[in-house]
Amino acid sequence: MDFIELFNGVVKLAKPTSAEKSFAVNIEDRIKDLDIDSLDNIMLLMYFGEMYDIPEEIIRELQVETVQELKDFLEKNGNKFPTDVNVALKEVS
Amino acid sequence: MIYLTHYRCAASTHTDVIEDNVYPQRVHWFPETYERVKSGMVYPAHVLASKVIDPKVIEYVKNNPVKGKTGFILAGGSQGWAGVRGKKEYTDESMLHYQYKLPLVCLTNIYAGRVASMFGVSDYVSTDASACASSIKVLMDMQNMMDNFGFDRFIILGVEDAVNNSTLEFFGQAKASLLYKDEESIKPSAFDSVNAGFNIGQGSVLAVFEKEPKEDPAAKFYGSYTSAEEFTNPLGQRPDGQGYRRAIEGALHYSKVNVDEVKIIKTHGTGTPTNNTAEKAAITSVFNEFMATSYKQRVGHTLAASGLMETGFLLDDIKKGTIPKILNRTEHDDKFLSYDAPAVDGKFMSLSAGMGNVYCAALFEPC
Repeated sequence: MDFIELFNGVVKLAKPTSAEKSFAVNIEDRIKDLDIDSLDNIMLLMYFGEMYDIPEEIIRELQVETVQELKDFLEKNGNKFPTDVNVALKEVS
Repeated sequence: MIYLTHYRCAASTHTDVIEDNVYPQRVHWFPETYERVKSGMVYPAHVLASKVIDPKVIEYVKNNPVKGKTGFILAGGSQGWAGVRGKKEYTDESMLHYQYKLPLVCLTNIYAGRVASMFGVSDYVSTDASACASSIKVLMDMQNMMDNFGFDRFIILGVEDAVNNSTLEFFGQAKASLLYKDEESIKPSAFDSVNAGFNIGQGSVLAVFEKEPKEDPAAKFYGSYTSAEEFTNPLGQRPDGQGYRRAIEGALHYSKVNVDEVKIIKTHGTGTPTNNTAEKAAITSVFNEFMATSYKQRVGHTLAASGLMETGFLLDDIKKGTIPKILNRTEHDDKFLSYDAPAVDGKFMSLSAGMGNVYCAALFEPC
């Protein structure tokens, strides 16, 4: 599964009309450079927490710099792991 | 002059009985608004709003900037969307049970900000909590800002989480909505001596008002007025319809429209005995020749959305050439229509009322 595609899908959920500015292109992209504000950030983390079945108290403490670090965190702390982007997005939307 | 340039309405004629509420009752709703809510990531009111937040309208607003300021109001009715519980301990098995994993985006103010940003609105964003009158009440606020504060465009979103356990309990306890156990003996209607009352319904409305439309407008908006009345019970209504009458006369006065110019009235029309008496007294004390209708028997009472959404339905019907009858009337009535009547040219008035002593009237004319 392409994590960039999943990330951008979650961005679309969190920012329904202005997602394009926040799409990641590379796995090393810095999240704070992606026009993601504090509300977007909370929503992104909640969506990913739901997808990877990570307790809220853990996911909300998450501090990562890049998309790669987010991916690593989710894979390390997740209790389930999405295998299909569309299925994963549908589950939380 | 202010014009209604775009409107989108969503309501449902589909009904189901919610049996596991404390007050089992029939509702008009879109079952799909509840399809995924048990996950806690999706909320019925947001799904409902998405039915009218038309990307084409967003595109129109973004591609046609106005000289003055643009405002956005979420007419959200009486209910905070976060923390809806009800007095009964509902479980996951309950038809309408849901939870919030993102409570901060469910607060009406935060949600309003999110929707306003979709339209690129950055001059003014607010919410209104005038219960069932909300989407008509905000028109007076809008006209004030357009008259006096340099606004050229307003976007109004009217939506409320009407079909949930808490709201059904509230209306059931207040003996306002019809209960399932009474269905055999009474049907929803208004201004009738036999049938009466309403079911709760899901609905939403999006409307754009502008001083200088960039496209052919749907209607002229002449003006609106909101009033309270001298009454101590904020859940009740004076039998003489003082609140309604004040609203009607205020709207006519502001609009500089004569009574005789108004031929069609979209009533609040809940059909409760109290509203029947108050609204009928007010209308008949001001107007002589008129045709009045109500939409709540067709789509339920959609609370905050109702006033403006039903105005949209009336506009649609006038364009089709008909003023629809009030359903389930048992007496012939030429004024509070018991039959579908041909539409007539001219202005129409939309009335709305809300708990807490709020009465509203607004004047429109189809373009």
